[in-house]
Amino acid sequence: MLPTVLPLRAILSQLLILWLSIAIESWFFQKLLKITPKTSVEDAAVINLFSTCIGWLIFLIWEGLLPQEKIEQLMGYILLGQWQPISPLLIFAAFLIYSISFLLKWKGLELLEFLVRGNQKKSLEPVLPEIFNLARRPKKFSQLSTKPTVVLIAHTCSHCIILLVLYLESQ
Amino acid sequence: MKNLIKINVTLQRLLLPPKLIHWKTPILVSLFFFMLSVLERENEALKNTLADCSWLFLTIGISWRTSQEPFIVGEVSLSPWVTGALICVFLWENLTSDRQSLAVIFWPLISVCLAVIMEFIRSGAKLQTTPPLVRPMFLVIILLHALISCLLAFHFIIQGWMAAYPSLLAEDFSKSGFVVSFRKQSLTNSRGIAIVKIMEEQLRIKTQTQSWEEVAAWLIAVSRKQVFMRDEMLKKLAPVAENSRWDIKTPIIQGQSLYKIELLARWLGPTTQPGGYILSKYCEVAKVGNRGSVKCNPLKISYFKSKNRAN
Repeated sequence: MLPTVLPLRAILSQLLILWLSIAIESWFFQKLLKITPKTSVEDAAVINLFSTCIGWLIFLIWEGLLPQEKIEQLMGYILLGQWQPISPLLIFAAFLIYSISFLLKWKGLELLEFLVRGNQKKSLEPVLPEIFNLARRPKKFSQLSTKPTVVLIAHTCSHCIILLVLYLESQ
Repeated sequence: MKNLIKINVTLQRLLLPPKLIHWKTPILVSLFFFMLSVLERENEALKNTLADCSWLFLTIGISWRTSQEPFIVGEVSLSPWVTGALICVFLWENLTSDRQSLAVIFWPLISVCLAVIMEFIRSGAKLQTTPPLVRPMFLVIILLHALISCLLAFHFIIQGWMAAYPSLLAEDFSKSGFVVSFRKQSLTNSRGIAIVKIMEEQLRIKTQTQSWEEVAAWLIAVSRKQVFMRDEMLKKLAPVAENSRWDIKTPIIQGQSLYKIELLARWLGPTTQPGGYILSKYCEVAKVGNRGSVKCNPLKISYFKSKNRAN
C-alpha cells in the first residue's frame, strides 16, 4: 500500500534553507576571514549540516517525549498548517533556536578547524594577522575578523534571509 | 547427452571461482548454507541460523563484487550502499513489525559507516595527523547521510500519525508547509462514516433478533444513559489512538410505539473546521407486530458552529 501523505515539502524546504545558508555564510567567511572560496564553502557546508542534523535529532527526541494532547497540536501544525497564535512562548522558542544553532555553528567550526587543520594553523596564525594589521587595515575592521563575530554575523544574516523566504513562500 | 555436458561446462564456468580468494567463493558458501537450511526441516532455530549464515556470506560476496569494475562511479564504488541495503534487508526480516522502519532509517548511516571503513582500509590503515578520513568533503558526505536518515525518520513518524488517526485523510492538506497529500480531500475518507454504519447495524440486528419489549427496554436504558451504544461499537472497531477523539451521542425521543433515535458522531481531533464536523443518521424504530422495524434516513454531514466563540 503506497503512502498517500509524503513530507516532500519538508525535504524541499530543508534543501532550500541549507543551500541559502551555505551560500550566504561562505560569502561572509570568504570576505571577513580571508580564506579561499573552496575552504569557505566546505566550512560553511560542514557547520550548517552539523547544526541541521543536531536540530533534527533534538526534534525527533522531543516528539517522542510529548504527551498525546501536544502531539495532536503538533499534528495540527505539521499536517494541517494550523498556527497557534503568537505567544511569548513561541518567541522564546524562536530565540532559543537561534542561539543554540549559533552555538552549534561556532563550536562546530572550532571542532572542524581542530580536526582538519590542527597543528598547521596554530603555527601560522600569530604571524600573518600581525603583518596585515600593522600595514593597512583600520582598527574597526580587525575587530570584526574574529571567528565568533564572523560566525554570528553570517548566522544572523542567513537566518534573516531564510525567514524572509519562508514568509514569502507562505503568502 | 552433448547438451548436458555443455550445460555442465557453462555452469561450472559461471559458478566456480578461478582461484581461492575470489568473490565467487563466499557466494558458493552461501548457496551451500542455503541448501542446508532448506534440507533441515525439524529444528527451527538451526534452520534460521543456517539461513542467516547464508545471507551473511551472500552479503560478503556481493560487497566484494560491487567494489570492482562495472560498479564504480567516478572514484567511488557502489559497494557501501549495496552492502548497507543487504544488511538492512536482513534487519527488516528480523525486527518486529512496529520497529521495521528502523531498518530503512538506518540504511544511510550503515552505508556511510561502511564507506568510512572501506576508505580506511584502502588508504592503508595509517593514522596520520591529518588523515584523509577527516577531509571536509568526507565530513560533508557523512553529515549528508545523517540528514537523510533524519528525514526518513520524519517520514516514518508521519506515517505513524496517519495510521493512528486515519480520519485525518478527510482533512485538507493544502495549507501544510511540510507534507503533500496524493489523495483528494473528501469527508468520505473519515472513519466516522464507518462508525455510524456500525451503530445502524447494531440497531438492525437488535430489532431482528429481539422482541419489541426487549428492544424498547434497551432503547429506554440508552436514553437514560445506563447503557451506551458507544461501548458495543468500540468492540467492533480497530483499536487506534483516534477512537478517543470521537464523541458519540445517541439522543432518543420516545413516541407512541415509535422511537426516534439520532446516531451522532462528532470529530474532536485535529481538523481544519473549527469545532469539528458531525456525521449523523436519523432513524425511526416502529412497532410492527411483535418486532421492531428500523427505517433510516441517509447520512448527514454538518459542521459544528460554536455560539460562544466570536468568529
